[in-house]
Amino acid sequence: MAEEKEMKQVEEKPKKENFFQKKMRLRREEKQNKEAGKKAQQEVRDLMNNEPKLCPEDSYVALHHIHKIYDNGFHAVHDFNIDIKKGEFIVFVGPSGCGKSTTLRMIAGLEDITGGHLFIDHEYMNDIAPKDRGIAMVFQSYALYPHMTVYENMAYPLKIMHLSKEEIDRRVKHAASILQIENQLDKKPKALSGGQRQRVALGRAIVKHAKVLLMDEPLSNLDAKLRVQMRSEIVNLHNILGATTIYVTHDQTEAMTMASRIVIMKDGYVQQIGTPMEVFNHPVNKFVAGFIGSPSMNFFDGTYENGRITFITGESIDLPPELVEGHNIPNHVIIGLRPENIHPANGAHNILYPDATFEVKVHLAELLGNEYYIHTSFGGINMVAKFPSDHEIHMDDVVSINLNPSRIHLFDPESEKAFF
Amino acid sequence: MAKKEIDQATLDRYNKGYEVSYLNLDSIGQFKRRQAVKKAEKQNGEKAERVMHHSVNYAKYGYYFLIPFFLIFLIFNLLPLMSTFVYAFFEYFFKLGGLQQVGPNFIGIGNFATLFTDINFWKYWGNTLIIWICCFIPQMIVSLLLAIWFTDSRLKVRCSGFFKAIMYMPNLVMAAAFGMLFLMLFGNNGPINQIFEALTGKTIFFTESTGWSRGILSFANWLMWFGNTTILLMSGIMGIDESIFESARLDGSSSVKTFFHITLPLLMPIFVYVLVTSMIGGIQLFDVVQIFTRGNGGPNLSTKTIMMYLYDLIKTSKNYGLAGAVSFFIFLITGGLSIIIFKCLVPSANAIKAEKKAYRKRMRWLNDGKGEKGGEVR
Amino acid sequence: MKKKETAGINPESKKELHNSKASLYAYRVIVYTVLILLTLLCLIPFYLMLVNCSWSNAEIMKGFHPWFGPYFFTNLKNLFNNKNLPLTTATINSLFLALINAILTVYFSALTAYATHVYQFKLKKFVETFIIAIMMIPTQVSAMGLVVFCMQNGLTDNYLILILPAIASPVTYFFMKQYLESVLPYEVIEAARVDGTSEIGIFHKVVLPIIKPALAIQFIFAYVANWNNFFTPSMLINKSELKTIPLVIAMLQNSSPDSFDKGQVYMLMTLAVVPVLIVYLIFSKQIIKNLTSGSVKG
Repeated sequence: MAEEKEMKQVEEKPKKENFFQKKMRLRREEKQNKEAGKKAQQEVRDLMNNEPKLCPEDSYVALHHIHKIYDNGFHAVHDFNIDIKKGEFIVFVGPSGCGKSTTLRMIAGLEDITGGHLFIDHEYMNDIAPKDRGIAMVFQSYALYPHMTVYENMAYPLKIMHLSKEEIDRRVKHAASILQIENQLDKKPKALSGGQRQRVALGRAIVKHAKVLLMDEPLSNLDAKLRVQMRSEIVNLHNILGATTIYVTHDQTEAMTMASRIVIMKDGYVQQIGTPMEVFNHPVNKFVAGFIGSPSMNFFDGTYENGRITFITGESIDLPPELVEGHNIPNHVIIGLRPENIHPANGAHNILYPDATFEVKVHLAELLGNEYYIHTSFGGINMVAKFPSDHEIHMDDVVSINLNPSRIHLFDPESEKAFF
Repeated sequence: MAKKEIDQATLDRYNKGYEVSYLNLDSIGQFKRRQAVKKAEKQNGEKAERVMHHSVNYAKYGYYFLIPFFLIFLIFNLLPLMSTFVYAFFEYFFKLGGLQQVGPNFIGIGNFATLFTDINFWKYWGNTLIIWICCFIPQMIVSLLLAIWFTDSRLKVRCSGFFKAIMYMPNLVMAAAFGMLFLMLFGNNGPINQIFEALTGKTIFFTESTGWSRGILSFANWLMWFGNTTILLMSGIMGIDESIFESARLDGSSSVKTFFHITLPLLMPIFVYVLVTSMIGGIQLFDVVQIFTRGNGGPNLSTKTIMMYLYDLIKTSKNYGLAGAVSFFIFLITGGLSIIIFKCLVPSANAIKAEKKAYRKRMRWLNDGKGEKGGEVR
Repeated sequence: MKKKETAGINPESKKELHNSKASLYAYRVIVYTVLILLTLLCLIPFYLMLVNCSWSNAEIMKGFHPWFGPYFFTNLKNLFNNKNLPLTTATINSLFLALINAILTVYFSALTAYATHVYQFKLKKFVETFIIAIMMIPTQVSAMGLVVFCMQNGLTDNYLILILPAIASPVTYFFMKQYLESVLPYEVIEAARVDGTSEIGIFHKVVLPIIKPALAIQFIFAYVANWNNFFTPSMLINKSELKTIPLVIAMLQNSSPDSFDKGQVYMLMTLAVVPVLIVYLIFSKQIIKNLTSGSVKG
């Protein structure tokens, strides 16, 4: 009876919210958000207020406990820490909305830093205007002045710096020759192709001889082939100039091929900082493991006991003892294995890991030319494996696969942290 | 559509999938259609026109739906316009207070001669110009400033919606009422004078002074139009990519430098548009002035605008010949100004010519049978 | 790792910080002052108008009272009962005329814009350029021809002349076309054709509902423009019963300003101006948004 009455009461409550009530509610929520935001900003500011402004000797660009909270309370960047040495090529990578562009803009000075310290060349830069920070930036949309020629576009920052005409001319021509756009100096941006505009944007950044070069997804507006070409050119440019570069992208291939160190971010938090090799071979959590590497790592549910992992479907593999030594691994784990560590085992001479051989049926075989992406069902999920294309493989074939036990990663199911 | 013969070479190229000049496409289409008809006839043994309808022709509906617009335009705009210009060359007025009709008699450019030798005619143009300039220059300065302030991301003006709404409001006010309002406010016993008297004990005779009358009219016009201009300029600035301003900020360009080197050049098209539409609007200045000066044109005809003169000719003195001449002259001037806008806004003819040249170049390669050019494709 | 201590804050940078924050503050003060000044400039004439329309003529002549008085409804009543000013009929005429004109303008402009947007026909480019070209011609230039034509054929004091030209309005056409280009996908029309709707049926049942916001805003603009229209009606209407509100205001100009009842005059102006402003203020956000998005494409 009481339940019925409760249900009836819930039904009877009119859910109608007319125009003014909605407006009032929205206004109230906005105000609450604003207050929460202000409070959070103050907290974060106090965090680092009493810390001395110390910058490590060998760090050229240092970010210590950088936070960004917007006025509406949205916490965009949490506790960003990195020490960048001179001449490094750092890449911030992560999915959309993870805060990488925001951090770059904070380094540039286009956004206020809510909390933490920023040092460029051992100088405290939190409150200094962008033009005095010694940085140059390449924007995603290139931001070329449409009414000026290429030459004028590249000369504009130098004119503002009050350099002599000869110096400006020398620098612009030098940059144009490095970037191979000497013939375009008299054209306006709308007469150039995407790749050429990109080079002009790069040229405009490098003529300033800035301390730090910032790039905000410069290659996203180019087509695939051009992207590959420009990637190598940017690395080449970095080698010639030796400038400290901070590069933002959402493409993990760019990050892996170009960076000396990668910073992976998600939802405002730094997931891992390391060289491409470190990040690839020793990802610190499931997100990094799945983000880096294409096609991405396969994740299986399974159990672990005494050095032996068992998949949900019953198969088990023994892990090499040096891998699991000293780690306290619970019973329930997430097993991760990259597609390139799954080898074909057809033919006796190919079997490297006899204890980790299984038979699976191929759902889909995607031929890329020199390799196959084989989609099969294993361990309860749709697994992807990379096979060489020396034999033909078709749908519904039954193949033997060989899993490499020393390349298995284990992750904790709740925290998603890697064990080793 | 003329039946153009197709040579076999063009047809072969078309069938192979190469690009064919657009001039030939039409004929190829016709040729194929004729072939299809012949084929169908052979099969069915009768005129198989119906078979080849591959799509219903909807284009005729385009014409149908345009009929109301163009019909009305023809009757109520074009024909009267034509007749106005025709009357410009005729002598056609009413003597003796509208009773005796003189004309229409053809007198060639007689009306124009009368106009151009009438010193008042030029005075009216002068009045119009002066009032327009006194309105336009403050309007542009204020609107430009406001547009920059409202779109500045660092400044973050609060309640900008409120300000914009209030500033645009005078644009919607009935100009006649506005004129009457200012007449009452600045009249000899109006509130402005009453306040002024309370403060200093003197009265200013606004409506009897040339300077004040023109000033008040310019001010009224300015009030009515600066909101509109602000919003137009705002939309122009918002059309500029934000990252260009950020890039300029990073380079160290101060606000003033950014404005003159970047914002203003990029705003040029809209600027010109506003300039010319404002000019055309200035020529049309009528309602406010008519009511404010009670049809007289102010002290010593110093605020009589050209539109007031036209109105006068049509309604009061009923001199249709002269009115036609004045209309014609106005039309020429506004037409000239419009051509200026077109040249600035519409993509220049040069771009189209360049494209045609590139097209012809490509066609030349194809005709040489060399196939597609290797290398980077733009 | 040795940590190098910075000399507190770089004194150079402190100057920058101080400079930028202070100058920004001063800048904001200037900006807000100018904005408030302009707002006052815009509002004061209306305020004076509203205040004065609530005082009687005698009170207004005596001196300026910056607050509201008790004579509002007296003035209103006197104004409508004034035998010299046909105000009741004028109000009805204005309302009615503006309504019909606005409806016709909006409907046919939408139809014309739809025709040039969706259908491909030979003269399409010419038509588009042509209509945009006639936008630049002031209507007063052809007024004379119209007046003479009406006079010679006895069409003065005829509402048809005031209503029909509204069908051809290039400015509304221009806005409609811009809106259509950004909103209407061609597939919707093809789907309707497949369903068997007639072409005009497609326009009524599919297109008009989709462009309702633009229709509403253009309706407001057309209504206001017609409500305020003075030049052409003043030449074509002579009969007192057919006059519209601007013409009634013009009737006042024949006598000197000292001779009429000032309270009534202010009330007349209020009547001419305030209804429009109230409607505008309610929809101001959408109107301004429409203006910024649908205006000049550089």
